[in-house]
Amino acid sequence: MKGLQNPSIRTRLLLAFVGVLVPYLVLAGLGVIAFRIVWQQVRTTQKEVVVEMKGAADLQVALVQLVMPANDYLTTGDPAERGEFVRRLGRAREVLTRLEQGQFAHPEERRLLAEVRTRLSGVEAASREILAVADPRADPSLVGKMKALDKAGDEVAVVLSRFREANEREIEEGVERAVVLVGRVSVLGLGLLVLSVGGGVGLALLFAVWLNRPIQAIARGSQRMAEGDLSQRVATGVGGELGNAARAFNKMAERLQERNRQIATLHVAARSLATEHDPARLFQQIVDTARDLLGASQAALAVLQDDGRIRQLFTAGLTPETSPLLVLPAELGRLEAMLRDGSTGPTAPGGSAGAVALSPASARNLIGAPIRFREEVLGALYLTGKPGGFTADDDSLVTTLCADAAVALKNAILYDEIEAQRTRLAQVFESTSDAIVSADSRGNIVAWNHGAGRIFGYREGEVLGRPLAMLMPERYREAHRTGLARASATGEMRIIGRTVEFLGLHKNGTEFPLELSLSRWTARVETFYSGIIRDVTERKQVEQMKSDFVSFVTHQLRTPLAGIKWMLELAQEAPDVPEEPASYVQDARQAAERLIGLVNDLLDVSRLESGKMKVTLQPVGLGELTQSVLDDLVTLVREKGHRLSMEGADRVPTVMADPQLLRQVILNLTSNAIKYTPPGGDVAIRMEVANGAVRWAIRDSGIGIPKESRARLFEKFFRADNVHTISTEGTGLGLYLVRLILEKLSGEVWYESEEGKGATFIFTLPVSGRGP
Amino acid sequence: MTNTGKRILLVEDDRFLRRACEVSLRQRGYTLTTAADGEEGLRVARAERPDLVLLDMLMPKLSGLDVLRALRGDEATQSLPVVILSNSSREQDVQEATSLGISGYFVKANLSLQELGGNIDRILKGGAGASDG
Repeated sequence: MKGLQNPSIRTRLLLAFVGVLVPYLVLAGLGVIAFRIVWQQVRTTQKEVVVEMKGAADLQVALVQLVMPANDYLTTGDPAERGEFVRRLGRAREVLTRLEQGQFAHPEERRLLAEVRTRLSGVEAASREILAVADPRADPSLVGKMKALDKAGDEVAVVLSRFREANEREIEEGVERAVVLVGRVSVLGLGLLVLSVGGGVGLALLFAVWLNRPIQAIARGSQRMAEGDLSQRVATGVGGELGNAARAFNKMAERLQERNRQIATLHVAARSLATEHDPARLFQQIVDTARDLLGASQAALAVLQDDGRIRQLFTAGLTPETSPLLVLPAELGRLEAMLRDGSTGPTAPGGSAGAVALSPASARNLIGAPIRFREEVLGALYLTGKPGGFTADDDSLVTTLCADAAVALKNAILYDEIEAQRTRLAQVFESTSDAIVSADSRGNIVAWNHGAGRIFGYREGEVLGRPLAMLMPERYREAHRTGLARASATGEMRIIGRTVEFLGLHKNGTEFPLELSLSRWTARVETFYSGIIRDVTERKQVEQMKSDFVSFVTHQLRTPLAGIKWMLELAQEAPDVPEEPASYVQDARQAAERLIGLVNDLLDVSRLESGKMKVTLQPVGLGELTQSVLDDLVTLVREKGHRLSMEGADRVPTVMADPQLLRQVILNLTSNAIKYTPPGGDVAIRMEVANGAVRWAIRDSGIGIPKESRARLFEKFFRADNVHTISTEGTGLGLYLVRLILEKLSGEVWYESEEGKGATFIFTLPVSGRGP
Repeated sequence: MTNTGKRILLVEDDRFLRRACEVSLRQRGYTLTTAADGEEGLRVARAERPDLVLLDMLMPKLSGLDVLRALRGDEATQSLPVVILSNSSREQDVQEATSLGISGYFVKANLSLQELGGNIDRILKGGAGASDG
C-alpha cells in the first residue's frame, strides 16, 4: 500500500506506461469494432441491392415473358404453346413467391408485390378458363375473357414497373444511408484519433510532471541551499530512491543548518574571545561558550601550569557533588597526561584528531581537547552531559573552539605584553630629553613629546596637525616641502636612517643647531616619519672650544718644535762637527720631525672630525701628484733597499681635487707600504681609471695584516699587533686620516691582505673629483 | 753671494726661532733686521723699508694680521713683499692673509730652513709666491 501511495520512480514509470498504453489499446479496439460494423453495413447494403435488383429483374423477365404473349399462347390453342404459357406462369409465381420471401422489406415494395400477386392471380384465373377451351377463338364468349386477360397482363406490367421504380428508389436510399454511415464512422474514427493523440500527449505531460515534481523539488532545494538558504526542505511523500534522496536531502539540510548555526556561534564566540584580554574572564567565556555551543550540560576548563598539573579550573553548569568532570580524578589524570605528552589519546570512533575521548565506555558522553598554542599546552577543555551523546561534529567543534581559545589566550598574553611595552615606550617617549616628533606623509605633526616641547618651546596642542615646516627657519622650508613631495612620490629620502645636522626654529624665533635621526614607518597604508631631535647648541659650543683648544695647543707645540728643528738643522750644517755628535744631531732631528708629524696628524684629525677641514678644489694631475709623493719618499726607499715601481701614471687624467689632502692619502699609504715591508721588498703602485673613478693600488711584499686586526684597521689610534715587530714608529693615525680624507672626498679605501704575504691598499677617487 | 744687499725684516716673538732664522738667512747672504713683536715690526718696516718682511702671526701687542693690514693700508708699504711664517694654519687666518696680499704662507714646523731660504730666494728674484698651507 505504501508503495502505491508513495510510488517510486520505477513504479511511476510503470504506471505512466500503463496509463498511456491502456487507453490507447481501448481506443484502438473501439476503432476496429466500429470499422467492422460499418464494413458489414456496407457489405449488407451492397448485397441487398444486388439481390433486389436481380430479383426485380427476374420478376420482370418472368412477368414480361408471361404476360406479353399470353393471348397468343392461349388463342392458338396449340398445346405446346399453352404448356409454355403455363410453365412461364408457374415460373412467374415462383419468382414472385421468392421475392415475397426475400429482402424487400420496404412497405411500398411489399404492397406492390402483393398487388402483383393479386393481378397475377387475376391473370391465372382468366387464363384458366381460356385454357379449358380447346380453341378459344372459336368461342366468342371467351373474347371478353381474353380481353380481361390482356388487361390483367397490362396491369401487372404497370404494377411491376411501379415496383421497379420503388425498388430503385429503395436501393438509392440504401446506398445513401451507407454513404452517410461511412461518413459518420469516418468522423468518429478521426475524432477518436484526435482524442487518443491529444489524450496521450496530455497523459504523457501529466506523467512527466508527476515524475519530475519530486526531482524538481530536490533540485530546487539544492539550488536554494547553494544560494545559502539552509531552511530548505523537500516533501518526502515519494517512495523509493527519490524518497530516500528527499529524506537524505532534508537530513543534510538540517545538519548543514545545525552546522551553520554552530559555526556562526563559534565565529561569534571566537570574535568575542578575541576582544577579551583578561585571561580569567577569557577562560570563563570559553567554558560558557563551549557548553552552549555543544548543548552539553556541564563544561570545565583546566588551566595547566608548567609542570602539566591543573592550576585552575573554570566550570559551567557544574554542581560540584555530582559532576563526573570532578569525580573522575583518574580520568582527569589521564587527560592531563595525554595533554602533557601532546598526544590526543585514543579517539572515539568517528572522533576527529585533537579531541580526546576519555574512556571507551563514556566516550560519547565526555569529550575534550587540549588548548594548545603551537607546541605549548595551555590547558584543556572538556564537556559532558549531552542528551544523545556527542557526535563527531562535536569533536571538531571542540577542537576548533580550543584552537580559537588558544589564539585568544595567546592574544590576551601578547596584549598584556604589548600594553606593558607600550607603557614603557610611552615612558621613554615622554621622559627622554631628546625631542621625538612624528609626522604623517604630508609632513603634519602627529606626535610630540615633552622633549620636543622643551627644545622647540611649543606645547603639544600648539603643534599637533600643523606642518613640520614651522620648526625650521623660513629659508629651509621650501627644500623641506620639495624633499617630502619627492619622498611621497618615489619613496626616496636621502636622510632616512642617517643622523644629520640642521638648524631648528624655536617658538621664540631663535635658531639653534640640531641633530636629527629620521626613520620612516608604515602603519596600515599610511607612511609616517619619526625624528629624534637633539639640541646640539651646547655640543657645538664644546666642539668649537675643542677646536680652538687644538689650534692653540698645536700652535704652542709647533713653535718650540720648530725651534728645535731649525736649531738642529743649523747644528747639522755647522762646519767641523765631529762625526759622532753629527749623528746624534741627525737622530734628534728625525725625532723632532716625527713629533711634528704627530702634531700635524692630530691637527688634521681634529679638523676632519669637526668638519673644519676645507676642501680646496683645483686641477690636479693625478699622475704627477703621485710621482711627486714618490720622489719625496726616494730616500726612505733607498734606506730600506726596496724596489719601487709605478705604472699607469700616464693613463690617469687631470681632475678637480684637493692636492694637499690627496697627497696625504698617497703619502700615508705608500710610506706605510715602505715601512711595513722588511728590507729588500717590493712596493708597486698602479693607477687606473675604472667605473668612473681613478683607482690606486699600492701593493707591498710586507708583513701583511693579521686577521684579528682587519676590522679595526682604519680606527683612530689603532695599530695592528704585528707592526711592533718591524717598527715602533707610527701614531695609529695614518690610516684613520686616510679614511677621513677619502670620506671627505667621496672616495673609498680598502685592502686585500694575508698576514706575512704583503698587503694591497686600494683607494678610489670619483673622476668628477667633487667632495660633498 | 747673489743675495748680498737684500734686506729682510724678520718679525718673530720666539727668540729661538728668531735666532735660527737669522743665522740661516745671514748664511745665505741676506741682511737681517729683527723685531720681537708686531708693534716693533711695523715701526721698523715703515722706517727701514726692507726688501721683504717675514711675519709671524701670533705675537704680543700687534698680531701678524694687524701688521699686514697696517702695511697694506699705507701707500708706502702697500706692495712690500710679505711672507707669513706661522705655526697656526687656521683656515681663516690663511684666507685673510691671502686676501690682504702675501708672497707666501708657511707653517714653521713643516718647513726646514733650507726650504725657507730657497723660497725667499725665489720671491726676491721676482718668482711667484709660495705657500705650504
